Amino acid sequence: MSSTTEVKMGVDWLKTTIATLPTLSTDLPGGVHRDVAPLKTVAPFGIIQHLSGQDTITITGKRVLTGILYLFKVVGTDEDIADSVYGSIDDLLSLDQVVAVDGGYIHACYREDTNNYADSSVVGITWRHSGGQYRLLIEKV
Amino acid sequence: MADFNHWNKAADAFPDITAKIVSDTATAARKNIRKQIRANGQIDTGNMYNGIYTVTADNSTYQSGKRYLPEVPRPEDNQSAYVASAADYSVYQNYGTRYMAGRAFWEPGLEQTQADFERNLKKIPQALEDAAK
Repeated sequence: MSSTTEVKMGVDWLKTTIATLPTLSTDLPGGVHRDVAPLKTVAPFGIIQHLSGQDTITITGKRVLTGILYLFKVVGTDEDIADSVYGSIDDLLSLDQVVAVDGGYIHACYREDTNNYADSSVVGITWRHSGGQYRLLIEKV
Repeated sequence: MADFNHWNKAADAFPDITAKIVSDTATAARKNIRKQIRANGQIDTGNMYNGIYTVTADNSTYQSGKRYLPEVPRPEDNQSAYVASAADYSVYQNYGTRYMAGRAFWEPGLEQTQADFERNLKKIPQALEDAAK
């Protein structure tokens, strides 16, 4: 049994997959962060957040798969750019075949819901959060 | 035939039985979402916690509170129910802001409700049998 976790395996796969976007450095200059971006991160940037997860177990209690729901969103001050960058990345986040990763396998990745809202946590600046909720089926070995 | 054929009674009762399952599952979702808010340590005044409500065709647990959004409209029939969060800042607590990480309570609460839904579905055969007596 490896020392990683299913949640981390999923986060790493998401980051690796997003990194394959050819225009990543210009589209997402602030990079991709887990949960929250550090202060002064250049916008737009990406956020990956764990939302929930459920194990699938055998009748003998052996864990065979974990279905984890992640939020991936692009956060920026320009609504059109945030939506457009997210749209490009969404095209990458679809997996219907098993891939090997450190610690096990990712069996699938599909979007379950959209996620789009604005927040005004700084007076005078509206931040747009544009993303979706992705279910990853993860097997840890 | 009339002595042993109780099909009509069972068929007539079916929509009411499923309506109860819908309502019970919505109530379970509300409870599970609230439980997750508590587990996440997101209770300060209790405003967001109290603002998790259910709406069915003939009932609503919506109540007034600080920074509450308007109540969602009633579903058109008793085969649907809504679970909603009234506090307008719930989305920021759940998914985060530019400067604050989200702490999800909505999705974990709904996932926990899947087991309640399946448990409720298992009550259908007995309920039909009782209705047909």
